[in-house]
Amino acid sequence: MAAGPQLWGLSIFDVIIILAYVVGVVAIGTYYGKYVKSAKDFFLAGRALPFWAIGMSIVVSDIGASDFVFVGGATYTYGVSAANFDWIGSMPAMVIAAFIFMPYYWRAGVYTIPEFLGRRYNMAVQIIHAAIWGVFMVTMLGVIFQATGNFMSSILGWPIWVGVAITIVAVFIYTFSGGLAAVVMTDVIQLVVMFVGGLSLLALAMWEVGGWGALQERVIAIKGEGHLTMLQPNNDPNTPYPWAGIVFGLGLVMSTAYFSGHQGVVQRVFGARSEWDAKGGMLFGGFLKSFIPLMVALPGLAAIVILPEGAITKGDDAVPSMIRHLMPAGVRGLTFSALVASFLSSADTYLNSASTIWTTDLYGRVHEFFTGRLPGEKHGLVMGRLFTIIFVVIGASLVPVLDRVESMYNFIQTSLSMFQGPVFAILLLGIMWRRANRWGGLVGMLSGVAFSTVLNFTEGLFPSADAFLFVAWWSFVFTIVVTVVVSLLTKPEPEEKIRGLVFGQVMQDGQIQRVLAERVE
Amino acid sequence: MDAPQTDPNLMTRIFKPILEPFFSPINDFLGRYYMPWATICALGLFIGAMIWVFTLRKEYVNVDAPGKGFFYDLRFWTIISMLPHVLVYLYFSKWS
Repeated sequence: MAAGPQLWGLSIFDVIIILAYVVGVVAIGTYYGKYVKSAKDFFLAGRALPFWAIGMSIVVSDIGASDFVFVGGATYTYGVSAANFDWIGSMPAMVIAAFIFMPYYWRAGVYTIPEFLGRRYNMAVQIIHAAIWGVFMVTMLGVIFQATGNFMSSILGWPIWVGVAITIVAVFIYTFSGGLAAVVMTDVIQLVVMFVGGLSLLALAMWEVGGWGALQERVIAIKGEGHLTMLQPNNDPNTPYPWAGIVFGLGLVMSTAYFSGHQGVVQRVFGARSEWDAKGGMLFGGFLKSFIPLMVALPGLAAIVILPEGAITKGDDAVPSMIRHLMPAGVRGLTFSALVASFLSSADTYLNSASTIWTTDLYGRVHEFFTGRLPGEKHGLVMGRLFTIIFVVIGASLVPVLDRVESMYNFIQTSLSMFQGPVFAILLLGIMWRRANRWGGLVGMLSGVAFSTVLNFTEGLFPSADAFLFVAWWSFVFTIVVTVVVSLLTKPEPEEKIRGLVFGQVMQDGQIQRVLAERVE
Repeated sequence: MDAPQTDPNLMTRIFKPILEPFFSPINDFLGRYYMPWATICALGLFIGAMIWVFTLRKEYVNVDAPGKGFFYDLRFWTIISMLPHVLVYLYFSKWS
């Protein structure tokens, strides 16, 4: 595993740049701790985030170093169709999220998606949803710690635990201190570093290969025209990205579910300073994300031409080999800093969002059950920081277990496809259809998760070895049908309860806040 | 997590005979269609989203906007963000 800095071509100068970058990020993130006085400051950055910071933070939280390595590798192996995840798998979903979901989340003044579902449906839906996401996010924290440890081990030659320890200490210090504001502002810096490193690699790769025209000519000659086709046939067993799965599973369900229902993404929007910033942040994020395939996929494509035959044994080595091959010392350190940046931003996102969900939706409900009231602002802040400590410990303790998982990519996608389709279905119906009620939401979500579990573990149902694209689509359709049928068979929600939470009721912010404040669950 | 903890053959033995009659015809149907339908469906997603945004009330789209000009109109930025994708999907469908 430990390939070491020599293999990756890192000089001591590059290593110093990487370490200086980590220290700088921690210092800047910790600075924002002085603004944190309440739970609202900690979880929602005091609802003061501008659109540009939201957009940049969404992108850098979404893009991990794994995207640089695995998407570059997938492009090397399968062609440009790997870029679908950042194009058709982002922009349409982010437009839908911006204009359907974000206004309602923002107006509701909630901290979390489960809290919104609790208001729209009932407490059971809130708690089940929070428990699913709460466990998933803490597990993901362990996944990211483990991936960072492996990555640092491979580039610097250190033992894995050293990389894990550095990540944990760095992320913990600024997330514990500054909460969402620190997470978002360090993300802004990390995005700039990521773009500088990624675009430098792209420019050098295109220069080396002789421009786009020369690249496409030689890729077609070596790999065939299918390598430059975005949408692949549905019945080709050699592609993991059949077009029907990409358009329906990824474009309509998985990506929309991700950008509308992933706590780590939408928490930035909850912290927007205005509804316009909430929508604009999502659109700006989509715009920035359009550049990601240029930085991660095209270098993978150029590697087919640039790297000598037999230079790499697997696609995932394509981008790291390109960095070593093309970049001078110093710039190489900056590019690896970009990869480290993407790990840190993913870790801080999951840490902050997991503590938000556990504080607001699980601890908060338990506290209300025993005392009859929700925790106050100061109490929420203390619990948020306490959960931050607890999750760092749990995440670190999961690292040895997750080290035995064979494919992290499949682990994440399979886990997400188990509940993203069902959860997105009840979110969508909750906002778009006023007749959806608590029983429909509850039965729909539970049966949808059960159905997606069956689909995931029943072999041979779909024309792709990685069935998650189809599982997401069909579990979404199934949940829609069940939720509609059960809602129609049971009593509708009172008009008072759903006022301001259903599309078509364009109400002013003040009115909504009064309605929500008066509402007794 | 690559393989479920329970015996995968058990799940497959129980559910495949029930689910396959439903999914198999759909897979066969989709397998018969490729280009240009794949590109049309993908472009439909992008173009449909752009058109949909223009069907929304302008006041709803731009509530709280810090200014009045087109620069603050989020419908304008939706088009700016989406159009390059349409061109990219058209460009990368020409080899199929």
